[in-house]
Parts: sequence; structure tokens; C-alpha cells
Amino acid sequence: MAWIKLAEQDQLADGEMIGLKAGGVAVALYRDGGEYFATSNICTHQYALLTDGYFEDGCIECPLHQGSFDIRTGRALCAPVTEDVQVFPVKIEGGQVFVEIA
Amino acid sequence: MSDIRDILIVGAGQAGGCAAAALRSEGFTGRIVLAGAEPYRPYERPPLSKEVLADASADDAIFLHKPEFHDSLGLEWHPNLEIVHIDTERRSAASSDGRAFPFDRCLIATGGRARRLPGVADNLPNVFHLRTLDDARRLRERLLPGSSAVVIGAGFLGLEFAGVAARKGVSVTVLEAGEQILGRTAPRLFADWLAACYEKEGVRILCGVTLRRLEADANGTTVTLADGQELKADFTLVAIGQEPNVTLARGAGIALDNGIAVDARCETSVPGIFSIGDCASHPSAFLGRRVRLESWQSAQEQARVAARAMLGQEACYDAVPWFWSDQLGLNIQMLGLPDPSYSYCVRGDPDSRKFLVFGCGDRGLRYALAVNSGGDIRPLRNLLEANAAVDAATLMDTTRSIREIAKTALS
Repeated sequence: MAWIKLAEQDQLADGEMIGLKAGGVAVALYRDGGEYFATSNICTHQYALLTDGYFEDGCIECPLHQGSFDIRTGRALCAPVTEDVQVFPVKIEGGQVFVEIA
Repeated sequence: MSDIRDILIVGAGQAGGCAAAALRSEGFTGRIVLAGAEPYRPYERPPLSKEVLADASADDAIFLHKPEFHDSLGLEWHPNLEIVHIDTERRSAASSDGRAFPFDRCLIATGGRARRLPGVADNLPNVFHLRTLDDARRLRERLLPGSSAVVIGAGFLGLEFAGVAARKGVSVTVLEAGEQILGRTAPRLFADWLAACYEKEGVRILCGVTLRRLEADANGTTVTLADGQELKADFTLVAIGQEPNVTLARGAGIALDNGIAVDARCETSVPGIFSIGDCASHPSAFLGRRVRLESWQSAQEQARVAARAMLGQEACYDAVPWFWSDQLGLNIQMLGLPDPSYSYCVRGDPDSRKFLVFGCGDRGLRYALAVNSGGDIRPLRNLLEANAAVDAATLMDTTRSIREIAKTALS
């Protein structure tokens, strides 16, 4: 378990997301209502980067099949996705965003 | 729903499998019989002409549900079973091995089969079709560097195959009867751009050609065109579309109209019998006509509508048609269907391989095509679903994102 620096806090405007690598893992970082959340950036259905999709109201929609996940819990919300996406703990320190990758 | 105990789903493809899962998630606890002609549990067909052709390790990823989830649905799943007759009066179906399956509701999701070239014998050596996982596996073995292939038909299936084959070192020629590739789903300006991409990959595409003959033997195939030109190859893929499997429905006296005709609830002319997916034609409010769309979307979304309707709940299928394709590293998504009356414009630079094509009618946006821009599909779909009158000038304003344009138009 390690906290890895992912981004600068002001790199993202509210309602935006960005795809980054942390410890060799593709991570999607979201800013929603002033808070930051991180999930795996790979859809659990077929290979696609979630950050190429559509982010709104706390949900990320995959660009390929429009399956969606709750960015807070990783929960799969609608078909075709049935498997939750992994979420990573996030902390802010000194204007920087860190994620904990297991 | 208490009077519904037995539901029979004929066809265990994506549509049938989705419907079974949807029935459970709607709370149905009765018996679900899922009868499929193939040996496999439900799987998605789109990867067959993409990942599965390219890489054997993709085979396991195509299944609709993981084995544990599939098992948890508590289905009576019959692989390798053909339902040959439905008795609509007695509410019972019969399988080819003589078993009877009584039902309170029946869902016909029999899909389609690859269309055969007229006048060409079936099972010719070195002539392939692509519809099933077994088809894809057989074709995959033929994608050897230095070999050659002719593809008949430049729809999505034929092109996706050509793209994968070319990148594996196969010399590919694609033959198309129409004046452009993708004649049914994409406008000419995009078709020409994509054809040029194929040329750069070394794929030869011939449009507007008429076939005179297809001959095959153990050594390979020879296609002869109307002008006498002969194309020899190690093998030929016939990819000229599919035909809906309607024999079962026809035998049951169910009304047909370019497939099994259903209403917006996915119910056929026989009450209690429903149909979805590639075999069914449905009224499209968006297009203003009845259509049968062979797509992932029809299978997936009609399954949920039919599940609710079979259980007596409110349900209506009114989706804007949506298709996607992956080829040559391009993710291509389309909303709506092209029409000769539309005028088309392009947002973004095609050379960047990331752009949008809009088709506008009198009232504005009616069709959209996104290349490597999947994130723009959702706001565009919102616009089309709302029938928002957004004109080309607004859509082409690159100082604003599509998301912003959609939000403004819908506010």
C-alpha cells in the first residue's frame, strides 16, 4: 500500500476528469462538487478508458457501451456492466492529489 | 405477475441472455427456460469480428455474464437445443428432440444467420461466413502472414475483418456492389475517408462491382467479376449481411414484416409472445417507420423492455438507433441513420483521426457519427432523444464543447 502523487489539485476543474498512471495502474481521477475521487480507468466490461467517456452527476459512462459506474463506490449502475470498477482512496495534501494503490 | 409461472426464451444470444437477467432483476422468480442452438452460454457478437479474430485470449471475455452470475440467475439453460414449433393455442413449444416446453410468456430471440450468396453452394471449401464464435475461431486460424483473402461486402463486418486481417499480414481485397462502403450506415464523405484509411493499410477496396462467379476448391477461391476480372485468394469471406431467423415465428402464424413484427412493447401479433433483437422489426418513433436493426443496442435494450412487458409492467422501446464499430484503431459510433436528404458537415480534423460528422435535416441534427470521440455520444444522444432543433452552425461552433452545446440547447 502506498500513497502515490497523482496530480495537482488545480489541474482539474469541477465536473472534470483526467486519466493518469499511478504505480503502473491506469487511474481515472474525477472532481465532483469540490471533492476528488479515483477509480480504475479501465471499464470492467471490455477494454476502454473510462476517461474517454462521459462524466456527469457522479457517474462515469464508458465511451464504448455506455455502461456506467458510481465514481464514489465503483458500483456498476447499468447494463452491460455487471462488475464494479475498483475505487482508490484519495487524499489532498499541500495542493496535491494522492491515491493509495494496493 | 403471479399468474406467470413459465417463461420460455428461444435463442440464447445476447438478446435472450439479457432478457433472462432482466426478468430476474425485475423480480420474476418463476421458471425461465433459455434454449439456445449454440453450445455456449450467451455471448456478445460484436467482438467476433474484432478482438476474437485478432487474439485467442479474447474468447473468454465475450460472454455476457461471468459463470457465477449466469449460475446465480437460476435458469433452465439448454445449449444445443433447437425449438422447432410453437403452439400458440396450447402455449407450448417443441424441440427437435421431441421435448415440450409449456409457457405463459414466450420470447423469440432467434437472431439471424449470415446471408448466403445466391447461386453459390453451401459449405464450399475455403469460403467462410462470420456469425458465431466457431466461425470466428475458424477464420482466425486462416489469418496467416503472406496469405490472401477476398471479402465480399463492405459493411461493418467485412471491413472489421479486413482491418484485422491486413494487420496480421494478410493481403485483402474487399468487393462491394454499392457505390460506397458502409452504404447503409454512413454518409459518403465518411465512407470515402475510411476507404482511404484502408488503402493506407494496403487493403484494396473495389466498389460498384458485380460478381459473376465464385469458385472454390481445396487450394483456394476464385472470384470472377462481371468485367471478366479474376481474383484468386487463399480464402473468401462472404459478408453481405444477415437474414433474420423467422422460420419458427412464421410456422406459429406470427405476423412478419421485414422480420418478426413487434409493437413498442416488443409484443408480436400473438398476445403473450414477444420478440427482440436481430430477428424483430419494431416501430421507431425517431425514424418514423418500422425498422429491424441488427445491433448490440437492439439486443440489449429491447431485452429490458420485453422483460418488463412480459411481466405486465409498463415498457416502451423508443431508442435512437446507435451503432459502433472498431477498426484500424478507430472507434466509430453512429446515432440515427443516414439519409440522402441530409446535409453533412464535419467538426474536427479527420487527419487527427478524432472528429464528428453531423447530418442535418430541415429541423437540424438527425444523425451523428463520432470517430474516437465516444464521450460526445451521450450529449448528442440527449439532443436526438429530445428532438432538439439544433442547427449545423451551432454544432460546428468549436469554441464550445458538444457537452456545452447540448446543455444549452436542452435547458
